[in-house]
Amino acid sequence: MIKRKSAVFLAVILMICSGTLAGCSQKEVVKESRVGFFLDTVITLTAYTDRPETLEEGLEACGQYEKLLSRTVEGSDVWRINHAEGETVTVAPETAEILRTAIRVSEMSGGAFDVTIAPASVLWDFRSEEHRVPDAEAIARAAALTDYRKIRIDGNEVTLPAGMMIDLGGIAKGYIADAVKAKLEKLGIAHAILSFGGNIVAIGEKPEGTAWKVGIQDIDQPTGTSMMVAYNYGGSTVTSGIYERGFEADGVYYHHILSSETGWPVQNELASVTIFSESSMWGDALATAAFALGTKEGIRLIESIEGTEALFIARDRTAIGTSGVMHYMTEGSDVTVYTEEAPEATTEETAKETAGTETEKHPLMIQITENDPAPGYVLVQENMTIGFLPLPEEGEYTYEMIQKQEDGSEWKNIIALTPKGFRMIEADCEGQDCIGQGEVTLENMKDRLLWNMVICAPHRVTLSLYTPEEARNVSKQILGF
Amino acid sequence: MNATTQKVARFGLLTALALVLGLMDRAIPLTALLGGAAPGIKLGLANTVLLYAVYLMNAQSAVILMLVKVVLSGFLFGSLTAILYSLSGGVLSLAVMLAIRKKPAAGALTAGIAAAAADIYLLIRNPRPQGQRLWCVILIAVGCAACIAAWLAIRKGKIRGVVGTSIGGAMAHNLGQVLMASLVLRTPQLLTTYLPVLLGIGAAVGSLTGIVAERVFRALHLNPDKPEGKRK
Repeated sequence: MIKRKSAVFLAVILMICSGTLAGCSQKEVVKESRVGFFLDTVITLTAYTDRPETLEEGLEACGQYEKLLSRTVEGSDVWRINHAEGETVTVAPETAEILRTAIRVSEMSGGAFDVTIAPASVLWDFRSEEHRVPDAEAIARAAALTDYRKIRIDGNEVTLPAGMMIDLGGIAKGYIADAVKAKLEKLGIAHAILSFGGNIVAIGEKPEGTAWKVGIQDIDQPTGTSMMVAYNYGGSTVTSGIYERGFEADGVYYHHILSSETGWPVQNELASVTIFSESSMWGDALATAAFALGTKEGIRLIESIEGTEALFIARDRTAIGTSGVMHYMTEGSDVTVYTEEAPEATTEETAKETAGTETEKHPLMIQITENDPAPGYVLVQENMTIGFLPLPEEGEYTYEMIQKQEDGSEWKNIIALTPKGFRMIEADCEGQDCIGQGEVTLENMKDRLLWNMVICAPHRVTLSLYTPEEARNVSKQILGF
Repeated sequence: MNATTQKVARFGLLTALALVLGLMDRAIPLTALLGGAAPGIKLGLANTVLLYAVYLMNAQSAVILMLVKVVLSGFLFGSLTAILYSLSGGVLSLAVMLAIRKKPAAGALTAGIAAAAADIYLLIRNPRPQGQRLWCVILIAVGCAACIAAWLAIRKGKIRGVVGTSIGGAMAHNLGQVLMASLVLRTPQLLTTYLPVLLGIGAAVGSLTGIVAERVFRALHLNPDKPEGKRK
């Protein structure tokens, strides 16, 4: 009797289970993951698909690229270049393309990123348990062998002087990530997130139409703890950080991002750099380049590339981003947006790569945090636009407001911001009262008739100067609406 | 001349006069005199024409004259935005002038109190004014004193009520403009920052134009208390 009861019970459970399972299998699309290990990196491919076997094809592709691009796999393109003793080597078109991009990034970063760093990087073993600091003289000799300008590429033919070596570690993962993404897209996958160590590449958004969220490693916490969370809208998010690989010896922490100049780990204020871009290959190389350059130069580099943004996290946990970085940061992320006159975008490749996206040189900020170093803020109100511009800590920069009118004409106002305050320097309005209103400074703003404001009434532009404290309050009011 | 012809002729004259005076308002760079930091400030001479209409014609004529002046000067010298500003100023100003034309003494007193309040407010927010603000505070104090003097003089019958009405109209004009500006520019902070300045300046400028209007009325032997231009 008891037996029968339990048998019935079991049958019911089974029915419920199979019912659920049947329900599952009826659903066309399920979340599937595959994990592999290539190029010293754990690779996780996660997709919403009805054909999980496509993910295996993705992993297979990883394996093929590893055979092409690994420095240590005998017979790979990179291995053959390194062992050619100055002879010319014919490589796969993919390898040549990666090398060309690598050289481009080297040029743009003044050599901060350099694939010919391999002689130095082979001296550093960040994997073994030994934690041995290489001989300083050996590092110096290796650093002398580092010079990307000596790579010769002619079509698919690559020549490297004898003794020099290349290592595509700082760019190959990005290339493979892009390639696997393209392959999966071709196979019909519309929603996927692919993780290649520090490189995260997404296909589309989540099935429910929201952006993917990518955690940015907390530098002081165990791996997997996020300090901030970034959005990925179907592009690439690459982080290079000192925590990824490294060891401590004699009280000094040695990390894996080596200076192409010295062959030693890059010593600067940074803990990690995250690059938001369309191409993960570019993101990968730029993350290393920006890290090696340091915050200020790094930001300048990234600002010169349209459609690419970067987040710099310093060892003291402060976070600074490029002008458009807030687009990628979740609400409440404590990030200071860096503002300074940036050079015009220069590269053809990047212009092509990010066609259609436009970044402003000085985006208006809405949120102002305690850590922001600006001496004051200018609230810009122009038609439907509202936001703050920080006063520069030194020097001067200008901000241009162009309002396109229905009849095709444009209203123009240009203001100049200094550490003390701001003034209207150009306006094509009638009367030009706004220029006559003179300079507003933190000192004179209580004595001016217009207080802290400069108003261009014909263009409906109001600019008001606030101290950091006032600005934070106003910012809260604006955000509170 | 029949009544209609006379009316049309007078309307044309007044409109032309208002436009010319408006042009003069623009030519006198009051904004520049105040260091360029007070946009939209002008003497308001054109308002004397409206004062004439308010006192010597009926309300309907005054409204039409105001509208014609705003639209014409807007198209002639300004932009659509300018029309918005002067329309809001004009409407409010005319409404106040029509409301207080019979009680100009009370109007002058109210204006004086408002100017004093504006001055005190400015001093509270910045007890040690310098530069532009110092001149502004002094100017407002002078305007306030003028209002009080006008109130006393009107009550004693030493000057005509036109002065009081002019002050009220000028301040209301500025109030209307700031209200419109804070709407158009979406900057309600104008009401706490610039409005006191404009109200105070309005008191000063309004008494000045009021006195001009009074002199003109006297010179032309017009008696504002006997409407529809019945001359001696």
